[in-house]
Order: sequence, then structure tokens, then C-alpha cells
Amino acid sequence: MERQAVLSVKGLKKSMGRKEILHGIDMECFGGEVFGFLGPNGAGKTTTIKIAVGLLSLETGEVKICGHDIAKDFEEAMACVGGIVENPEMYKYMTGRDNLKQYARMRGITDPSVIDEAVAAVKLTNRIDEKVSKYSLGMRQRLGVAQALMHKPRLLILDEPTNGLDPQGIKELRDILKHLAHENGACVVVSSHLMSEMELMCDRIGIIAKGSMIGTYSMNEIKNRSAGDLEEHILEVSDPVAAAAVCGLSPDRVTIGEGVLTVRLEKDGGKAPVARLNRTLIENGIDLYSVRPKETQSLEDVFIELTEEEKGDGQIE
Amino acid sequence: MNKTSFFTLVKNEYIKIAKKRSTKIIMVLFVLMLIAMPGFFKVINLMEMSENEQYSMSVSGSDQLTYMISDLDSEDVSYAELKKELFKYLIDEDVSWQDWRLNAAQDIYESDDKQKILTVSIFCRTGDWRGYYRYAADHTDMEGLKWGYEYMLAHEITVMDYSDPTIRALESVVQAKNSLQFGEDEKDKAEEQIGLYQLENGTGNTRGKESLYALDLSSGSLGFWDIYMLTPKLIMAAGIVMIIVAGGIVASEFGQGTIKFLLINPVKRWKILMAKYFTVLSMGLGMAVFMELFTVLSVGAMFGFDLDVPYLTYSGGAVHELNSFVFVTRAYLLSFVQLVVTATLAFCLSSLVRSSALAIGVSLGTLFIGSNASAILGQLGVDWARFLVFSNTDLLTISQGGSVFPEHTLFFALCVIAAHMTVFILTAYDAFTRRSV
Repeated sequence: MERQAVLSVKGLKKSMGRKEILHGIDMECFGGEVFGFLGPNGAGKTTTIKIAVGLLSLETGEVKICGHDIAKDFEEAMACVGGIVENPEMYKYMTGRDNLKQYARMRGITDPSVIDEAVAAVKLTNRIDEKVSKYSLGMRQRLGVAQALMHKPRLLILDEPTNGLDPQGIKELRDILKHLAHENGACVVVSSHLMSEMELMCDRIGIIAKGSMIGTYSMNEIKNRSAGDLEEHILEVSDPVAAAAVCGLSPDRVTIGEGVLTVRLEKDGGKAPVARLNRTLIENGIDLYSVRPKETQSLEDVFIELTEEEKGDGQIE
Repeated sequence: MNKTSFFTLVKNEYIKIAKKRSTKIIMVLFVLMLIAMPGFFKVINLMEMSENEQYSMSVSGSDQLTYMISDLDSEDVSYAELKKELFKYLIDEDVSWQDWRLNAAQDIYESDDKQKILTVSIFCRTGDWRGYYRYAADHTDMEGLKWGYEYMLAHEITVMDYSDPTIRALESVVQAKNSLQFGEDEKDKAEEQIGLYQLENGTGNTRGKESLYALDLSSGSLGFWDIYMLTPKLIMAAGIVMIIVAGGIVASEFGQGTIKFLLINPVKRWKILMAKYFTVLSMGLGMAVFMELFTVLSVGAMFGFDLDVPYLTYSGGAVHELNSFVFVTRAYLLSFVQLVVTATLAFCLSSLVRSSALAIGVSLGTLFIGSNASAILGQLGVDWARFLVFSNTDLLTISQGGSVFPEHTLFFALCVIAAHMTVFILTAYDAFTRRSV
């Protein structure tokens, strides 16, 4: 049986004035995963999210949340959603708890312990009865997250949620989101322009640039993506020069270093070429101390490469 | 899924308003005003009363008589000596300023009929008020005065105490009859009939039609109804609060950035908008009801709880008794319409321009200037001005036939208001539901 997408976006287009800023976005996000929505500034991340949660009007295309079309069954669709869009602005003259009570009432939550649970999850319990005007940006962000998850939505959409959080806060948020996705089966969609952040948090990422979807990739796919068909390995050997001579590789695939030999081997061969090389060295009396694959391109590089190769210059459109 | 009920949304709006510190301050000021207004009249009234007491006890009518004597000295008036002689006598007698003889003295002061002067002098010296009233009734051309003297003769009234409702009623009947002598007029007719009804039944309340300035503060004792009938005019204060709330209720969500959190909930936008509008209206209505009830207490505490006085109206050739509270409630409702229109304008602007300062400023401006502007246009004979909304919001005046536009009916006014309100609400709806956030 095919899994039903919690968030399904098809052929989404949007114009502001005469300019088309989304040129047909397609994506599907499923329960149980943290989906990273990644793109440089101005790529259309926030616009897409705003359309999905009804803050911007839907012109062309279709958005379904838990199977409800937002154009037809807006209230049913939104009942499945929790989210923060842009900044976590709350009513500053009210306490954190009073703010949460507002949203609890709008979502038909009558049990006050629900609020307590959400507040505990974001570790804001001892400050929740203070006025929001006294909160730091990080605390407001936590309050926003509490607001978004208190009704246990099947789809949680967070637009740049780590803004203003300290490293400790980021780690805690990461844990909360992973828990919600992996243990509770929620679909968590997180947007960001920071690849490094996504790497730690997401199971799958969708990359958007200049209003078009470049593709969706599992985290492993992204990690394995490198410049070509060759994979670099660093060999720590007793005699790099001798090793280079006997390894049987053309000179352009071998680099001799101090105590190490860097070799580029065919990727599609799997682990076999390394084993073969190992045997050759031992047979020729060269000691091999360690072999480690050289870090492929950093994820940030992949991201930049992906977003630029499609459209060229990386200008904000 | 259980849908979020409309009243939950309204409750949320009320909580948001109530939690603001500015709301608390405004509400305290509002209640203080409801206490201060009757208090102001009480203080003035007490000051006037103590002045009057001094006047009638120590100075009595002498001041006025002395003034009249000096006036006679300075001008060449016929029979001045005869008049002065009588005035001096009355000063020696120390007559009260409310005494019938002071009235008689004023009567001959301007007369150049020697016979009259001599006759009235004799009535005054012998204390024969019956004779004087008889004589005055027979020698006046004014039907109202004639009737008045005969009435006083029949009811043995010798003291002109204007704090006495009977004397006030008598006065208004006399004036109405005097005017009616020169031509039939519906207003004078009503005044005459209501005055007669008051004299006959010894009760009745006619306040409320008159402006603030018509209140006779020097008349000694103001009663509950004198002040309470003025309270519907204070509804303007509730109107200001309504405009402040209406102007901010949509715009502030945008200003604070909270609109995104509001709209991300499983509630359609038009429901949120209608909940906000309902909040504005119900809050204004609540304040008006609170005013009407609270001022019963604050006015009553200062002027006594003389509640059981009917309000008199004249229509179809007969005087009708109406419960005065019904009349006041009617006045509140008619005044409230103006507030609803202005608050709706503020609400519409709030939704349209997303700036509470602009929405509040423009609406307060139209509240204060709008009706004056259309009154000026009306007086200049600009007839299309009758279709302006603020030519039609003062229903209280229109219902009393006081509009500057000829044949301006309540029905016409309500139609114009309904048309404008429809435009306001549709504009607010359109701006809010299609807005990109």
C-alpha cells in the first residue's frame, strides 16, 4: 500500500504583480520524517509555506494536507497543521500561557495539561507565566514551537525555527522534532537556508532555487554526491613513493604526500578496489597502517552547486 | 472535527482587549466620567442654591427695585415719581423677589398709563393680589398672560417660585398660548397641552428635548430627571472607546505580527473578521447599557431617586404618558446608531489600511466633524448632502424633526445608513479575506 503524503504540493505557481515567483512547485512530505525545505534567500521557501498554510492565496496548483484540499476544506486541512511562519510574534502584553490559551481555544483544546505538556517539551515551564515582552528571541521561538505542537498536529511546519536559538536550544529543538517525527509519526517540515543545520536534523531534503524545485534527496544521496565517478582514499603507508610505483594506477590518480598516499578509485567498484590495493601493497612489502575515505564535498558545497548549476549566478531574484 | 465556535473567537477577542493596560485605564476613566457628570451639576446647583438663599433672605427683591429706581432717574420717563414712590415703599416692605408685588412693579415700570400706575400701586399697598390679577387679566392683549393671571387667581398662587414645577409648567403654558395667538404651530400646541397636563396631574417630565443650556441651573433644585435625561448625550464617550477598539482590532494584529498565528488556525478568515466586528458592537452595546444603568445610581445618589415620573408626549391631539425610562432607552438606541456607523467605519479602515492610528484618527474626526459638516452643507442648501451618511446619523434630532434638510424622515435616514454600512462591511470583508499576510 502506498503511503499517503501528509503534505502534498502539486504544480504550485504564484505571481506577485506581473512577476511569477513560483514556477510550479511539486513536493510530497510523509509522516515519520523530518523534511528539510532548503533554498537560498528569496528562493520561494516562505512563499510556498505561506500558501500551504493559507496565509497567501492559492492561485494555480493544488495543496493537500492529510488528504484535505486547502482550497476546499480549509478548516479540516488546517486542523492538521501546526506552524511558525517567519518570526514568532506573540501578544507581548500577555503572558506566555495566556498566549497559548488563545490558540488552545481556537483549536478546541479544553484540557489545560496539554498546554503544560507543550511548555515542558520546549523547556519554558518556569518562565511561562511571564509577559512575552520580557522574553528573549530564543524564548519567543520556543513559545512559538510550543504553540505549533500543542495540538499534536500531523503536519508541523517550521519556517527557519533555529533563528535566535542558542546551540543548546538548537540541539533541544532538533531532538524534539526528531522525536515527533520518528516516535509520534508526525510529518515535520523545516525550512532553512543552512545546509549544515539540515544535515543534522533531516531525513530528506527538498531543494528550491529561483522559484523552482531542484529535487528531493534523501540525506544519504546528498552525502554520497561528489564531483565524479572516483572516490578519494587516503592511505597511510610506510613508503608512499614505492607504494605509488606498485599500485598500478595511472599517475594522475595518485598523489604522494608525507607518509600518506592519496588515490582516486572507481566508485562503482564498491569496496573491492581498496581490498585489491591493500593486497598489492602487502605483497610488495609495504606496510599499510590505515585507509580512510577522504571526505567528499561538504554538504554546503553540494547545496551551492545544486542551486547554482540550475540557474547560473546565485543572484537573489 | 469539532469546529471552533464563533463565541470562542469572540471570547478570545475580549480577552485580548481586556488584557491590555490601556483598556483598563480607559474603562476607569469611563466610569469616573459617569460619576463626574452628575457631580458637576450637583456642585453648580449647590453653588447657585446658596446664592439664591442669600438673595431671597437678605437682599430680597430690593436689588432689582433699587436698580429700577436708578434707571428711572437717569431717563426722562413719564410718571417717574409715582413709580419711584411705589418702588421705595416695596423696598421698605422688604418684599421677596418671588413676591407677586415685584411682578406688579415690573408691570408698571414700563407703563405710561397713569390710571394703571395708580391702580396697581393701590393693589400693592393694600396687599390685594386678587384685585391686581383681576385687573391685569382684564387689561392685557396677550391671551397667554390673561389665562395665566386667571389661573393664578383660581389657584391662589402669590409666590413665583421657579423651582416649583407647577410655576415652570404655568410659565411654559403662558408662553405657548402667547405664541399661539399669532398663529397655529404644532410645537407650541404640544407645549401648551403638555403644560396643561402637568398642571392638572401635578406630574410629568419634559426634559430631554432641550439642550444642556436650557437647564435652568438657577432654578434652585434640579431633580433626578433633569440630569438623567442628559445622560444619553454622554454615549459619545462610549463611542470614542468603540472607535479605539474598532480601529485597532484588525490593524494591531498586523502591527504586532500576530496575524500569522491567528490565521494559521483552522478557522476561516471571514469568521475571524466577523468575530472581531461582533466584539466591537457587543462591547459598545454593553457600555451603553452599563451607562444607562450606572447613571441611575450616580445621578440618583446625588439628586435623589425620584424615579416614578412619566414622560409626556403630545401627538394626535392628546397628551400621552410614557415611562421616562422607555424614553431614555429610546434616546440611547437612537444615539447608538451613530456610534455603530462610526465604529464600522473605523473597523473598515482598520482592515483596509492596517494602521490603527489612521483608522482611529479618521473615524474620530468624522464623528466630531461629520454631522457639523453636513449641517453646514444643509444650511447652504446643498440638497445632495442629505445622502451623506453623517447627515443621517443623528437619529435623535431627525426623529424630533430637527434636521436641517426638509422632510427628512427616520426611514430615509435608516436607508442611507444601511447603504453605507453595507459598503463599509463589504470593504472590510474583501480587504481582510483576500489579503496576503
